[in-house]
Amino acid sequence: MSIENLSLAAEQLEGTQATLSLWLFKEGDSIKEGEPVVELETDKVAIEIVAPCDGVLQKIMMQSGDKVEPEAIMATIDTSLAQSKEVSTILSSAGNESVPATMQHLSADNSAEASNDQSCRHLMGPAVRKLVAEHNLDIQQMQGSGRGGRITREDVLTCIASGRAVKTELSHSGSATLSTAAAMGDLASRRIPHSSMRRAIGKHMVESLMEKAPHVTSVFEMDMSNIIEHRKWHKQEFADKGVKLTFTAYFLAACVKAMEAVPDMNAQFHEDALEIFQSINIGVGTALGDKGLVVPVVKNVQAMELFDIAQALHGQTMRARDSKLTPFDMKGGTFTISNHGVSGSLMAAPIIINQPQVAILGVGKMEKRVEVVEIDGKDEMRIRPKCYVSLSIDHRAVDAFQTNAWLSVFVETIEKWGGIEV
Amino acid sequence: MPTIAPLLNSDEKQKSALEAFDWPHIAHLVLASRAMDTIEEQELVPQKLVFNQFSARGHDLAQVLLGSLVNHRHDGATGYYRSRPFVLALGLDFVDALAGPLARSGGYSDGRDIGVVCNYPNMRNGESHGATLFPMCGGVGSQYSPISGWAQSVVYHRDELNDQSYDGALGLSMGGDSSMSTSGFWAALNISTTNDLPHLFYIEDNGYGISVPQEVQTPGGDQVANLAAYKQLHIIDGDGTDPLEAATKIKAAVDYVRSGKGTCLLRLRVPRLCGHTFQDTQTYKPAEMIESELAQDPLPKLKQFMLANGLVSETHWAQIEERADAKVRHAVDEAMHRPQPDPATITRYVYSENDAAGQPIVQTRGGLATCDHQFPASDEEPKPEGRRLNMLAAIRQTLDVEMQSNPKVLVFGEDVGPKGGVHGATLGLHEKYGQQRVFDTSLSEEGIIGRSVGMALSGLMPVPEIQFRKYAEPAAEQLTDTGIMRWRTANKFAAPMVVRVPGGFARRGDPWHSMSDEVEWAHKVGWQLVMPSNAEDAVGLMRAALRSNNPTIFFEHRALIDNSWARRPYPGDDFIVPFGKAKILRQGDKITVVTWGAMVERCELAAEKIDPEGATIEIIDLRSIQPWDKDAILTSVRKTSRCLIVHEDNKTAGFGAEISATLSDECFFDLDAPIRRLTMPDIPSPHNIHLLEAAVPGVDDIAAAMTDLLEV
Repeated sequence: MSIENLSLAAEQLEGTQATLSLWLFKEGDSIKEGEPVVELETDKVAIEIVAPCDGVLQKIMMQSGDKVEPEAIMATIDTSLAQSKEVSTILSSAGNESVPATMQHLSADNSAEASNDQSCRHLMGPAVRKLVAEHNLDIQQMQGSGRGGRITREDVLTCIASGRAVKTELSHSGSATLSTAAAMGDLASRRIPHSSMRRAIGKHMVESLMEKAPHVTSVFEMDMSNIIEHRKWHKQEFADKGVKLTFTAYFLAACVKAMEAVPDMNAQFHEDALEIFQSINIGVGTALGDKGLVVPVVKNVQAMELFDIAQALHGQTMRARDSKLTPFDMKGGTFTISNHGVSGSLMAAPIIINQPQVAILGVGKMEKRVEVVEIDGKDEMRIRPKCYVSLSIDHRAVDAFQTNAWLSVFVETIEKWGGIEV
Repeated sequence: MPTIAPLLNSDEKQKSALEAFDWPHIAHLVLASRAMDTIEEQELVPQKLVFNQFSARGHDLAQVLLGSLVNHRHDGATGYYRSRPFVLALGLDFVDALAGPLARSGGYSDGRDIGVVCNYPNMRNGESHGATLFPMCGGVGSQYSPISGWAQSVVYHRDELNDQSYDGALGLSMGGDSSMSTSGFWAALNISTTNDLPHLFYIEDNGYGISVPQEVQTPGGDQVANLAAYKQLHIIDGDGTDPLEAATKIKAAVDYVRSGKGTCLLRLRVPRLCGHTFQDTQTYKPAEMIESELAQDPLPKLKQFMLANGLVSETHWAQIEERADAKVRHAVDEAMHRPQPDPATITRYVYSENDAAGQPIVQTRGGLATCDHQFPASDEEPKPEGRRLNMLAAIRQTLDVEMQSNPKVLVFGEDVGPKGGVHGATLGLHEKYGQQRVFDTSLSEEGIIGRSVGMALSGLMPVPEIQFRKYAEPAAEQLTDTGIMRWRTANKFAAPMVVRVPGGFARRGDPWHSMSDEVEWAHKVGWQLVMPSNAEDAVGLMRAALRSNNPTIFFEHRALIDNSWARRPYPGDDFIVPFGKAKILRQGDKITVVTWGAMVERCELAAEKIDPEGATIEIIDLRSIQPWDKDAILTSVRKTSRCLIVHEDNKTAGFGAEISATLSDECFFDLDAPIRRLTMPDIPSPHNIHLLEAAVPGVDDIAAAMTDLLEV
């Protein structure tokens, strides 16, 4: 058996005097050369004494609190015994060592513990948004492993790696599209990427016509003579006040009369009820050339005189042209007019583009036509300025009866404008 | 106007005083100074081309006389806002003198500082050409202790570095009577007199501090009279408007200090013949006083004196006046033609910069770089050898090694000398290197840092110790002024130094000894700030600081100086850690933990607990706070998408806030979790052990925070 001593070398002493503070090992523990074995305190700092060799801590000769002179033997080390078992070291006193019962190691597979809490599924971090957009992924198809069902960056990366959750085309167009595409494959063509407005229009139309409302269209014809006359006389007066008087102003006024007679047309369809609105807010479809269509809304038309209506419309048109329409301009409509005739069509069956409205009025092109009237029992031919108007309705909400009643009042209001018989 | 009698008696002192001056040149400078004052007052200020205008009428003669004797190659001086005549007498170019207030490019500060804040490197071909004027500071009272440092460095160069060219050199600090009330004045007075330093205090006594008379400043209304019993202080007192008396007394004061006999305070009474600034209408002075002050105007007295003693004729005087006017007028024109400074350069020269070839663009004055000091080779690879050392022992060993190879390093502070420091950092150094190099200072942090400025400007590397971080507060002005020195002089002056600051909690906390608040110096323009977490980094960062051309705060965490975790084997005498380089202690791919100081160990322990395999949690020891390793942190967070910052300093506006803001700015789209900071709450450090443990983030707190962010 060979024995080595553990002592404090004189040059290692920092300060003037050392006291034994803490043994890091017990008698019988294996120690390695260079490993700290005991902590001493000087009047300045704490210092450590390391094992001079491998071995087993044989006998401890000094205890905590003892004064340690340089070269005094604090313990003996038996160098002949080999060490095989693991020893535990005492962690530094800086931190709290006990592991609270509630703390767990992180589990490798979080999804195994996933709860039904999906309250955070909608919370997407910037990294997630970016990856989803870049890889055109469908979040609906992803599982969220984060807290509250949140979709984490790791979840997205996993999907990308496995090729899942990529967005596909709408299923209705399905195979027909595919075969057409194949058939057209070798024709020369160019691709125009969709603008966001194009996409929006497409989405709205499909939803409205194919997913929500069964559409029916009824067509009437109106004689524009009286409002042409009225406009002729009042155009300048309005212009002097900075307002352009258009036929559309008259149409809006007539809509109000029709709504008063058939309030059901100014409504929203719910599963269990028809919600009829007091305010009549009419949106006027306004084409922006190639860029698409916007529908700015004139609110509370029922409270307006013709001048006010014309003024509001004039403002909307100017703003639309200057691309200065705000989201507020577009919101809150209860009914819509589509002036499709302005660009030449005689008659059309418009789609209710602004769900959840229940009806939309289409106004065709004004044309001089020959009509037959009976005067004093004889059939006579007259040339009159005429216009087809068509009302498309959501047949869940109203029937042909209300539709035609509405159109009758509308046409009558226009034809009898100014109280003059047509 | 009183007549001055021609010199009748042959009093030797007066005769030699007479001969010591080139009187026509004196007249030229005084007249030029007046012309500058007049043009500014009557033209440039009304035209709103000059703001903060300070005329020196009444002070000018004495200043010019004094300046003309401060001409030793190794003289150093400080002035204040009314010192232009003095600087003209040192040799300042008239165009520079006028371009300063016009805020044009070139000149003192390239338009960065106000015009009365002057500086004068006075170097030619890399050699000192004469006295240097330290960059003036706006704050009154800060001009004194730097000169104590300069004066001490004169002695050091002469006696310790055996450079006899420093023999006879002096330090001069100039101030008004009210500046004697400041703490800086008293710190410097004690330092210089106790050590018999070649420091000349010149007090221009005009009786007022702006509008406040001396009676409010000191009992009896005469600060200098109250110093009569001060030991080791030679006081000379007189009339600064009488040419002969002023000349005699000024020469006596300068000679005294140059002889090495010790510190001298020269007080000359002068009238302030104008308001404090151009704006001040002096309504607080009664009309008779203003009358009697005007009667004391030294300029007519100078003329009379020179005429009476045959030093000038009427014609000659008129010529001098005309020439001075013309020269000043011409200088104004030239100054007006100087271009406006370039706004694109406003962020340059906060720190030392390199040119396109990577060579440092060295400042004109201050620091080891101006003497082209060569350091031994350094190595960024550690070569650990031997048993582990306490961080404190490692710091001490590094100081020892660098002091050995660089005789210009001085280490000092309260109790730093024979005692070896209250923390034991400098044990044995005083014994080894002697009183000149390792010494105790007086109990004044303003003095400790102030004198470091003077030493740094003379080309030495001072290593002052602030005993506990909180006690840096009295030194705040000197610290701030040092940090901005390079910027506000457009790279003419810099004062690199290493300020050792122990701080943070130890076995207990308390508001006085355990303050952390290192973030203050991250915010102070021009300072570098490092906080090592272990003995190896301490060696490397201390070496980098001692060799840096910028001033550094070296934060020594009190809990780490003998902490077991912080011990490392000594990495070698050439080991260096460059500033702005963080260390990745642990790699992981799900969360980045950024930390420094005493929190590093706790973060490692927390990670061990919850991620024993070690693939999830990445731990980065920032260790260098200003500059900080932004790239390493960004790279890591881009990889992990989550970041937790753990620091001891208070939460609000602690350095974690800066890191967090930078991350949200520069890697927003890579984040998948909020950036969190785990810190002490916004309170001072508590003393009771349970309160301390509740306040400072513990291992479990850190583990919980890591887990929380990982599970978000």
